Amino acid sequence: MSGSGPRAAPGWVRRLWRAPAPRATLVGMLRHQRGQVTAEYVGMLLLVALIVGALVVAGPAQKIAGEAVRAVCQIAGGACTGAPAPPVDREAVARAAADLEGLLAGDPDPTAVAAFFRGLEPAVAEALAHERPELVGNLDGAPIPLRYTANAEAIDDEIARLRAAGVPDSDSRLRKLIELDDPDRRFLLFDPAGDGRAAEVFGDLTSARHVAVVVPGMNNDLNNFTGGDAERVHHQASQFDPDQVATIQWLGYDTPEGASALSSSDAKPGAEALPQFVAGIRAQRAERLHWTVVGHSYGSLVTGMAESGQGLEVDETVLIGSPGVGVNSADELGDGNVWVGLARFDPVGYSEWHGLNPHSRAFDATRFHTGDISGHSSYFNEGSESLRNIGLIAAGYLDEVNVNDGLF
Amino acid sequence: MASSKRMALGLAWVVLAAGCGGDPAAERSDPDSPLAKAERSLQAELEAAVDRLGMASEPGERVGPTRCDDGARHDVTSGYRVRLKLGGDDTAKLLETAADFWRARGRDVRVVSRSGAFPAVFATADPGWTFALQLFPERREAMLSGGTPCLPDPEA
Repeated sequence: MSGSGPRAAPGWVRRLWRAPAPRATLVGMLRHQRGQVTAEYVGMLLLVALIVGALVVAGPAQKIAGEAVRAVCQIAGGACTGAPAPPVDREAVARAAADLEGLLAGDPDPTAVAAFFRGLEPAVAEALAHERPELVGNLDGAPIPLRYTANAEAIDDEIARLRAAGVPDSDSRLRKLIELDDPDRRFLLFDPAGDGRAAEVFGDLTSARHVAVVVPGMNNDLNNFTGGDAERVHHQASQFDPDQVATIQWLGYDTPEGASALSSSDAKPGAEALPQFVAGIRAQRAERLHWTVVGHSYGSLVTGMAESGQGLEVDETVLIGSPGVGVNSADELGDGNVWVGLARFDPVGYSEWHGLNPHSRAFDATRFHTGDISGHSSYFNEGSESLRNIGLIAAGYLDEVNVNDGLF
Repeated sequence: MASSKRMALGLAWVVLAAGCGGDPAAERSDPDSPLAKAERSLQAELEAAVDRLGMASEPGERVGPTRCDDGARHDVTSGYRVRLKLGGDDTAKLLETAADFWRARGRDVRVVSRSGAFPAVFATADPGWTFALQLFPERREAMLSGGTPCLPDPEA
């Protein structure tokens, strides 16, 4: 790849610009319909409350009320609880669980997992996710909504387990779990063992045309997990292609702490897990999507090792604040575009702990402006040129990325 | 009239947020923490920019803290966003107005993509403040946003 600019954007990326009209939500309506007057908003809220209240009071309409409450909560973008579960064939669920355990014993690839779930009745699959979250939640290739359901259950179960063990709510792990136990948050991965792992999704991963995975660096664990970097990339990229971007904060490996970041040993498990994770989503999204992986700091080493040694192929690789990626040339990172950002006074970005600085000319990646940010921790700052360029790449607006031929 | 509409929209948003989850972190935050003070300062600067630009806006949105990777374990940065309505405004003039606003406050300013699809102004200030006005002419919208420096998370 030439250092003078990215490869020509594939035609399909440019066509992606034709986005459908944004979905209408209650919050969106309140925010966008500026011609309304205050009384109309208050009246609308009261009307909704009255309808729901009347349905709840009327006993025979309980089921309808449940659905109405859920629908209102969904369009308002909030929590939905108490909806009645559909009847399900208990024997079928038990059989499905046993069959899945048998399948997993053979270490299936994600496409085999996807095929297994396609053979299940939807109600059975849903029940399986609720009742056996440890089987479904982190299973690459399982349907995306089922993984959300299973991991929500798994978080609930872990909270209950800790409380039953007498752990106080002030405990840092329990406090974090309570924060994550939010019906608006969706996880494709949740594992509380050890330092913990998680992968949080922003946007609609079942329909997005662009998918970006953010791989964080050292000192990240479940206790300080926020998902914020991916949320910012999602919000920024969605400005360019509304409703067509999904991002994932992928804490899918045990990140190093302190001096262990000088070794690549912690990156290896991550580099093996990342392609499998991506393949799990691809198994559920057969259409051609525009894929980006953003590796920050030690996460860029994980990304580089996944691409150079584990066969991960994506359209765009973004390396920021990188201490090296295990190889010395962009050509060794698969066939996609390779982008590099480096802020002023970022000591890690100049360290070359794990190979040639990818921002150097010799590496031959496309360098993009990070603006006037400085240090190692500002690449995802809200309102930064760095975030904007990452968002443009994630949304496929490659020609709009502010590239540079010098430093920064 | 415009400000009363804005207040009504903000009130409705608060009611909905309170009824369906809201932002627990925001509710728990120590108002005297350096992060909370930085958030207020950021919000004030962006709201002042809204006034200076004279554009119709939606209620601002706090962007919850995210980790400053590889910084101290519990250092975080917060953000703030304001969506603006782009009417028949002269985009070049808007960019200059924003740039002048931030220059007057001593910020380092960069204007990018003047003739591109998404013109923008970026401003920075030590020790890690970021500010931006981004225009999306095809959607007739704009976004003001900004981020705080990395500061200790009061929730940690």
